[in-house]
Amino acid sequence: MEKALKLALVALAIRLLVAPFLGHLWDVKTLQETAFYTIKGYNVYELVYTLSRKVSEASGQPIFYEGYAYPPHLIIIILPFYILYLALGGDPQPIKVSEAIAGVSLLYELQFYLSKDVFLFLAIIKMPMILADSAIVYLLGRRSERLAAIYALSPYSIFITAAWGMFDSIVALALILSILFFERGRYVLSGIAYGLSLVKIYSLVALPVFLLHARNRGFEALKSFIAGLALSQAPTLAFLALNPEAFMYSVVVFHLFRQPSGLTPLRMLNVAENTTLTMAASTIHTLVSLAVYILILATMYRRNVDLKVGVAATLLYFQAFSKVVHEQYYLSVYPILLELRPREARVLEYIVIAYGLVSVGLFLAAPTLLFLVDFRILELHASIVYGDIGYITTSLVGPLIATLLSIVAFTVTLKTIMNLLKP
Amino acid sequence: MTHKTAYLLIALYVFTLSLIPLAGSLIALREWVGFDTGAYYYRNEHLEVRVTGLPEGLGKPRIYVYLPNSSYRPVLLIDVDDRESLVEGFSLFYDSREVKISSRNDTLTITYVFDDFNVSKSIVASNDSVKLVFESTRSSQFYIVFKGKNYTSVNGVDLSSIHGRSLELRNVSKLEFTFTSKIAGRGGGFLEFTSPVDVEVKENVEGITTIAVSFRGEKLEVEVRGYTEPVRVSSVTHAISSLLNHRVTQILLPIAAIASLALGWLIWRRL
Repeated sequence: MEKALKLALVALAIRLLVAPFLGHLWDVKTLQETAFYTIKGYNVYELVYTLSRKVSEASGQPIFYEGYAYPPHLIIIILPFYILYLALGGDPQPIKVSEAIAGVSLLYELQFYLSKDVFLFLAIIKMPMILADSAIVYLLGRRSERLAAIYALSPYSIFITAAWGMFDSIVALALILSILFFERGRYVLSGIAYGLSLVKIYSLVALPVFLLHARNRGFEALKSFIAGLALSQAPTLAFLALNPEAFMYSVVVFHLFRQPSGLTPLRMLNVAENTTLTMAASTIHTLVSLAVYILILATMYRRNVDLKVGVAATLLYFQAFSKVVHEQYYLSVYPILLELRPREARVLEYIVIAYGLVSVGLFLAAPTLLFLVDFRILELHASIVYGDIGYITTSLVGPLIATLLSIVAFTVTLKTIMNLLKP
Repeated sequence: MTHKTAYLLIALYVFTLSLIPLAGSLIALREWVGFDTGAYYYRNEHLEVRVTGLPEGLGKPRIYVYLPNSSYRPVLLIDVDDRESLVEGFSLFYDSREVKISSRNDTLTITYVFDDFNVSKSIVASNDSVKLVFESTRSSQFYIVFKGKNYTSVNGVDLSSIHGRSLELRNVSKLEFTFTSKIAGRGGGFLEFTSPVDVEVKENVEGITTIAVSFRGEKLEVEVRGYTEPVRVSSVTHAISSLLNHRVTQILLPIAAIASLALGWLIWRRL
């Protein structure tokens, strides 16, 4: 058997072992609810929009219901797997919430309760992400077995895909395929694959790079790439036409107005007590980030950098300057960066893992297991998180450690971009 | 641009960001801060008012007082229970069709929309007291439920002597209560009403005291004041308690930023 295929199977096996027992309950429940209501014939964007407006109007703050906030491609991807789960007799909603009003409070863990089918559900619903991870290993393995092994065994990719249940591996695979097709002159397929990567709209930052390279290859290449991209967005346009306001609010507005969080220096503003000053700082940050983006694109244009390098640099730019940088985002660029700058890729991986260990991610991944062991353990867990230790952690230790990691991540990401773009 | 210049620019930017929370806290003291779904807080040197978010729904607002020697761990003074508070027999939490929150300077207003009338509850926080203004769009029967923990007396009546029964007070304009607290030792507070009200005080076995205030009208203002008695604590306890609060985080952020930038520079040079 081909070595790359062997490594891909190893990656698959490891992730399948982890997948049934862990999960970010809220995020996986979002996938569950999306599939559940889509099968019933609902427009999931309308449901999310209605809940978001309710939360926002009631609270008088720009706060959103954290539901399905992505283009519809993921719905199409997960539906067959959800139907398979139902065909096997699974409970349609194995993750239940007693009072699902907002879902943004950290106290929400205690409101969850699970049916025994949750193991099967987690294993099946994460399958597209796990298969994407395995495909990445296979594609990496065809170029370098060492890099494929690193990715297959990476605790970071296992955590995000198999434990957490996030789908950034699909974004990464789509981007890799898009670059591969582009290099082989298959521009329509490249456009389609890139369009699929937009399932997380942050990959939009790489669009100018693709367009620039397509233009360099001639008008036909540009036209074909755009045609492929347009074709891939047929589901997006269909849902947009169904209810433009609900779609735009859920997919675009939600991301634009979210509070700073995750691995970004901007998170320091979260301990600020002056909303006006915070908003002013956020605006300045947006202006600075726009200037940096233009500078990166101009440098790429001037130096005629490789497509893969350009995609990696723009995605890293997003990691550095977005006001929301969750742990999983880095997975979209990690395999590409492993090929280009393995050293920087590993350093960034360690930083993101360290952040994952101190952030709520770990707590959120654990309850699935804890619920089924003993409810009292969950109560103990809650008393630690929300008791004295929780107070100290959330008010002092947590913000300082997260700040430290965010700043280091910011500087390392910027240095990596500079290294990628240097002549 | 050399790498050193680039890093200097990055460091300057990050360090400036790290100073914003501290600068903000100097300006934002005495301002309502929204931080979660419908959740707000207000802090000054003496007290803290928390309005919990939609998922919890309880305690809008909860009023805390700080220990005289520390801003760590404010002590709960009193809690207004939205679930049990009724207007014309309707629960503010369960029966209102809609809830809207708005803040302006030192005033946070929560409006409860019912089918035939609206009720607003304004929370006006000042330096050492909190004024609660209950207002209905028509003359209504109000039943406002306050809750407190470990109360020992209300208007001079020892609560241990009424255990299992309720204490009823008619035409009261001022209520005075005392409580004990593991952290504070002893403390107390006052509720002053702009018009006389009827009060029913009950205590349950878990140390929760319920003060139910009844009145008929369109508007009632309640001034809430609280205090804790200075407690003698060791210098170590005092030092630790002073360390563990969000304001220290704001002071430490620039230091953490410098440390991170130093670490970042070490990695930067090696990459």
